[in-house]
Amino acid sequence: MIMPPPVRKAVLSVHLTVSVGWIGTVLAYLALGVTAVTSRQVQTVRAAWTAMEVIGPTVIVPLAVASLITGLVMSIGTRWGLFKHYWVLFSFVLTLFSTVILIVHMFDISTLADIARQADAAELATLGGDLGHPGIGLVVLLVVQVLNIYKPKGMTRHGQRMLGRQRLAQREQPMNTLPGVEDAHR
Amino acid sequence: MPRQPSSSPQPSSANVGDSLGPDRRPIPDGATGTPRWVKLFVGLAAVVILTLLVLQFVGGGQHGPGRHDTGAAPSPTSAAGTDHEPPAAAHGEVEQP
Repeated sequence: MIMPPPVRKAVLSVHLTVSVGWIGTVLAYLALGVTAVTSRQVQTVRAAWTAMEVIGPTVIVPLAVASLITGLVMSIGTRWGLFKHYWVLFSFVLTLFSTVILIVHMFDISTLADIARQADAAELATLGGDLGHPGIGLVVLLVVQVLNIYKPKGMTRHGQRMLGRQRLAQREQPMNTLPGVEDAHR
Repeated sequence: MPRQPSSSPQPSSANVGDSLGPDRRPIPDGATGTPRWVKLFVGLAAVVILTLLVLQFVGGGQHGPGRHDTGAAPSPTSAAGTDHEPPAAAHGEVEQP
């Protein structure tokens, strides 16, 4: 079902907002992760882990889920389709993958934040930080963003089949139903 | 002046990627075969995944909180979100290993 333009623009606005917001919060999360690794102050390290534990499930995960859902609506509700174009398909797979990894990883962060709250100074020094997951996640999100902006050409086999059917239907359409011919008869 | 019927119903690929979206524009022309960027993309993704798997294997398969194990595992009460006092000796600087 194709969305009417006002609805499409509204969904697109939400999709852009939550997707760019997701990237912004991952950057903030990375800053906390770097702080947890580099700071020598016990309270700062604990605060960084606690902040990561808070913004993960309450901000980043909702933005990720919202981005995934609005992206699905945008693809299904427009003529791009979900499986017709490679850039849409790749964006969906990468976003789904990132969202699942993010949600699973939040349980680890909760455990690590608990450890950080109880650890002494020596133990905190060996705790490290959480840079790998958000770092790779940020790269994946930027790849998705580039795909969405450039929309590189290329249709999947499914998309090519659909296009072939559409063209066949257009050829079989009687001439007098074409809009220009209809106008000419008036 | 009446509009002339279009002689070619084929969409133009020049409109692909416009920010206005596809609904007011023709569907992009579908080139046959897999585009080069898709092959490159899939190849790069395979290399990255293989690299991560190798790193995981070389690193002894440690992943998740166990990798950060410091011996300060949370108690069941703290895992349930109960507030607690931090150890008294842990308010200073982090000791570098």
